[in-house]
Amino acid sequence: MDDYSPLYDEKTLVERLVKGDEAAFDALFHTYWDQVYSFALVMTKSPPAAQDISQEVFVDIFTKRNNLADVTNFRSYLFQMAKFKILTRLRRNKVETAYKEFLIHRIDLQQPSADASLQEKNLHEAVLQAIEKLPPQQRTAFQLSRMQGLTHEQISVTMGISKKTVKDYIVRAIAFLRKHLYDEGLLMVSAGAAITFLK
Amino acid sequence: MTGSELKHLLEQYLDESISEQDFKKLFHSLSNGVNTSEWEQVMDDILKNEHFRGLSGNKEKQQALIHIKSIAEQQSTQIATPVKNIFTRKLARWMAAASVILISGAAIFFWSQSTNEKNTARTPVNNSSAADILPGGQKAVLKLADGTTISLDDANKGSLGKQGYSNIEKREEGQLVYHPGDIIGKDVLYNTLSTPRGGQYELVLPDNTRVWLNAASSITYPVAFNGNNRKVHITGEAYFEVAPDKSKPFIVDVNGSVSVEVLGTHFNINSYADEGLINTTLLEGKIRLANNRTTGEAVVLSPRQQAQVNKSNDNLPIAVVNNANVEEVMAWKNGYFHFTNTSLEAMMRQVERWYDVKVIFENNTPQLRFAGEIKRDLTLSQLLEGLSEMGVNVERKGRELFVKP
Repeated sequence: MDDYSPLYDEKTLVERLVKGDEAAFDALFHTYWDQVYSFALVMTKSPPAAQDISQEVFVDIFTKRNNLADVTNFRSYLFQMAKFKILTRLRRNKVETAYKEFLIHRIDLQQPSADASLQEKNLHEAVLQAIEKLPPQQRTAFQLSRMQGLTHEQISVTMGISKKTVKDYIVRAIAFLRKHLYDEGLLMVSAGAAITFLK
Repeated sequence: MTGSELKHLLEQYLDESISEQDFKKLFHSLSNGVNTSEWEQVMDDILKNEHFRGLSGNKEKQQALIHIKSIAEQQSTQIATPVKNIFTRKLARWMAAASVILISGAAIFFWSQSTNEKNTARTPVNNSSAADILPGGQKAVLKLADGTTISLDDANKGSLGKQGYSNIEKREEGQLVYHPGDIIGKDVLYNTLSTPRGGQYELVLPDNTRVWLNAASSITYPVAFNGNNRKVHITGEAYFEVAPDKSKPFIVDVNGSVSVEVLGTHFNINSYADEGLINTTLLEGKIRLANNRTTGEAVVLSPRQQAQVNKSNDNLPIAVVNNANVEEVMAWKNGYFHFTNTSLEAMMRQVERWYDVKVIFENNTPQLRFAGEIKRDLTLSQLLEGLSEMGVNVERKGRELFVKP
């Protein structure tokens, strides 16, 4: 991820960016894109919102690069911008709407009932397959929590890891699953079946 | 709510174990702007935490870079010609010429490094000679299920007949309407409406979905939507206002390359063969667009987003542009050509389709870019007159236009 950092220290890169050096921008973009995107995804729980927010952050960095001349800590400036945009985004919807969106995109593992449609069953299958793609530790924590209904405490004892790590694994797993299902076109607001299944 | 309570709810929001009541409590407090310091603390913890990384794929990264570069490019073009000043000065000149412009119908202003200062606005002479080429109009051909064709510009207003149980009516000049019958037939009959170069037409489908076809475009559709979806095929450019029907998704197949699935929404698709991209721009609602040229990669668009599918390179992911220039995209339907930093080549492709001419670029033609609007009801000679004011020399021989250096 930090392909560029050994060559230049960040301060030099930022100075070059202020002068309009595109290569310096690229270096900073490659260093920080994933962190900004991942952060926005964990917070908003929506892949398109995460994309929008992170794009906006870097567009602002580039177009308003003159402001960077006075910035002593680029990293904290960048994340401050991201935080601001995330909060603005989360505030934007009415609470009712925000809750509906939260429900629509929620990863739920309830076994579809026997008379569920084929489509619902297929979607359930897709969620199970997505879970298989999680790193083993995260998968175990997620499954124990959501399929076996264990508390964080119990999982912590079973897996021999701290409660905080259990929580981190679950939050990370949720963000990963939302993104994976979105990429597969399964988390689509207008797909009636996806809504009924996932809520 | 105390700080620690809020923090607790936030953690439940993050791991999705939060109740409806608590969710609303949490978001109410956020929109009231209280205690954002708790949010900041939680966010800082996330940022420090190595677990919460690596969630972006390469696709997201590439898409972002394409988007950022396009914005940076626009900005640098502007910087190169101390934008604001020249831009506003030009605009002022253009406004000063507005009375002239209204008479002739042309409104264009020019934006480039080389010619800007010597470029004073003069009156484009209005000399529609007999040999002039007229702009496009409301022209289209309807092909019925049995292969019969009807030229709609010649047809009288009123009922044109029946296809299956649906009635076809030419309601206005330039508008064709399908009225569904009372009986739902089993056979699916398809009709095709196509516009020539220099033609434009509006179609109202039996479900009340409205479609505007730009020049050199076509749409094939069933005369009644009896199945469990509403599927149509298009070529060229079309703007859709899809009538909502949750039980029957509306699907647009674009040259077999891209399919767009919607429930009820407004959007424009530009898929001309001579344009490098298939651009789908959403104005209202939500659509899902799949690239069938590749493995069916799909994106979901929100309003003002534009999906760009590159026809010449199937390895490129679908690019999504936020804040697309909707005025530019919709200009054709509103009777204008609209240019925003548009190259001469791209501009002339639009001229070719609307005036049904062929444009030939001679060697060393200038690299020019344009911004502004031109009404689509100008005659060709009026348009060329205006262009020559901008420093573009075009010679016309019959239906061929030669762009000179």
